[in-house]
Amino acid sequence: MESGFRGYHPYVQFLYYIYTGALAFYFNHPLFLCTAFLLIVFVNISHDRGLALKQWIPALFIMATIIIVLNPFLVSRGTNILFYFRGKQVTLEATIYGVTMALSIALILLIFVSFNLILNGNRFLYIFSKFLPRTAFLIMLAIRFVPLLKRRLQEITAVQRIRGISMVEGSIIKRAKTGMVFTQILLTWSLEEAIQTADSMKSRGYGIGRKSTYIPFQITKRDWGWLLTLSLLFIICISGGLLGYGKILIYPKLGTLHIYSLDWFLYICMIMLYSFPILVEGREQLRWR
Amino acid sequence: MAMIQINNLSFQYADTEENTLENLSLHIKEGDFVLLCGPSGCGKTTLLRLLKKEIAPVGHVTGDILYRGKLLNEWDDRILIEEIGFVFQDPENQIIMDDVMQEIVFNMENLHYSQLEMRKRLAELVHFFGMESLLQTKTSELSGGQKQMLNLLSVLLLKPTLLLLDEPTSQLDPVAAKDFILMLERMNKEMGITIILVEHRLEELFSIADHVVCMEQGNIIYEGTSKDVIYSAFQQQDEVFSSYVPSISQLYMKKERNPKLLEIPLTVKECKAWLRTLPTFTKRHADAKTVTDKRPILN
Repeated sequence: MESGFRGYHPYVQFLYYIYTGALAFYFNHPLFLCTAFLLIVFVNISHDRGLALKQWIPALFIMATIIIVLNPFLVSRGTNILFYFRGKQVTLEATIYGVTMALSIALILLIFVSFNLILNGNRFLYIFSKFLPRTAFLIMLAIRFVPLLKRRLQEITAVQRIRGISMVEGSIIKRAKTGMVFTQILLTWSLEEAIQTADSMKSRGYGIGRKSTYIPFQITKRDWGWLLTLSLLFIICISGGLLGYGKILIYPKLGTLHIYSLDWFLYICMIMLYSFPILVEGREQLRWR
Repeated sequence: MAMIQINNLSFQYADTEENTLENLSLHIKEGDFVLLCGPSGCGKTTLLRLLKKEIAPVGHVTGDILYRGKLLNEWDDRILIEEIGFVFQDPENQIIMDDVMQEIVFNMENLHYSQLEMRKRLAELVHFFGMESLLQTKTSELSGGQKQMLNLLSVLLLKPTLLLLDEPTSQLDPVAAKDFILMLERMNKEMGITIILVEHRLEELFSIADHVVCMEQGNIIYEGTSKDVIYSAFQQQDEVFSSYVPSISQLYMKKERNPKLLEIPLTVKECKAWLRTLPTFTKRHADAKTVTDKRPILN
């Protein structure tokens, strides 16, 4: 049996990701976002010591920088003008908005990284096969194709390099042409093999009736407990947000960043919601060491 | 009663002029290990695929294929999927799921087996294959031989009575191929599963197979036990098929003055026994012994 966060029922895990994902776009107070970001980083580290996270760091960094830099130059809404760039106003509001947006998107991305690690394969199918059986399976196959294509492309590149055809030398046009040839090889190859995979699925009885699952997922008392706790915290966060707490006013004029007592309350609720996997893993560590 | 009965089967692919299979008849007994061989394009894969209804090629079919006395089309889909297993040539393309465990149970999940049933079958066969340590790994991390074993295992979990294999070892290294063939032999002997195997690498297969079918241009040209087939191929001085015969038997057929059907050696053991009966061999062997004895142990 899997331990820690992985040991929980898929529904609980799925709800956790839905709630955190929703809150990532709901609150836009920098303090809330920064805290949530840090917590999700810790959650990822608790899964696999941050291995999956590491691969995403460069992409995350580049994307965040682009959003933060571009937003104030493209959007000129807002009242507090910092300076003029080629006759266009660069405002404080747009800058802050860029930062919050970058944080939200980074947060969502990290949530997905964690999602991929926890709700993979069987668990994913378990959740979605109830109401979207075909789509869920199609998604599974599509996800499987990503590493497969990557591996095949590496193989093609290696073989072609020995034949003297390579994408790393020559003029840009030549490189582009080689790239196109590689893509063509990759696609025809993959299509042909996909037919074989389809044959294999057919011969093994896929789609002749209802599927059963090998791993029995049972909702225990512990799962119910967390399900209710998470939902309660989520409802508090949402209703608090409806009253304007945990959010800042950006356009047309930047509001106060001051944190009121109810803000603190929401803040703590959000921290509890986000740190559910960390709490679970932490408790396990304490118990077994 | 024959398990598979093929009567006057002809098959033509949708966009071709010629028949891929031409008026072919074949009977296969339950529990036999059948070896199907022949040059590329002789229709052996087509024949094999026609036996598995789900992946039968599209084209014009005449003649009947009977499974246990009933036409394939009259059987229930579910029963055919369970009873007739198919292992493809490419080890990788037939794997669907990410994890070994999920891949193994894929068939059983599709057929909606109960928890208990799945666990029982898995516990039994995974142990038989010695795959316990691989259950948690990713399928992409397995070697070719392990992948093909995995495919065989997942098919066997449905308890098939007939196993069809389309050149399963052609992409494996010789060691893995040997392991795979040995596993098939065990399946055949210990569980009585009928096996129809299409293969190019035939060295050790002739000694295992109960029934060998040689095809050429959509027709069966030799059929019978391994020895029958070898004997008739050499009798008719068939250059093409003589080269398919294991080298041990080739040696016998070429060197023996009056070869006898029942004495054709198929294994190294039998071949050595035959060599010992040759007068020249015994003499040379004795010479070699004395020479080695004279050599100093340390120099």
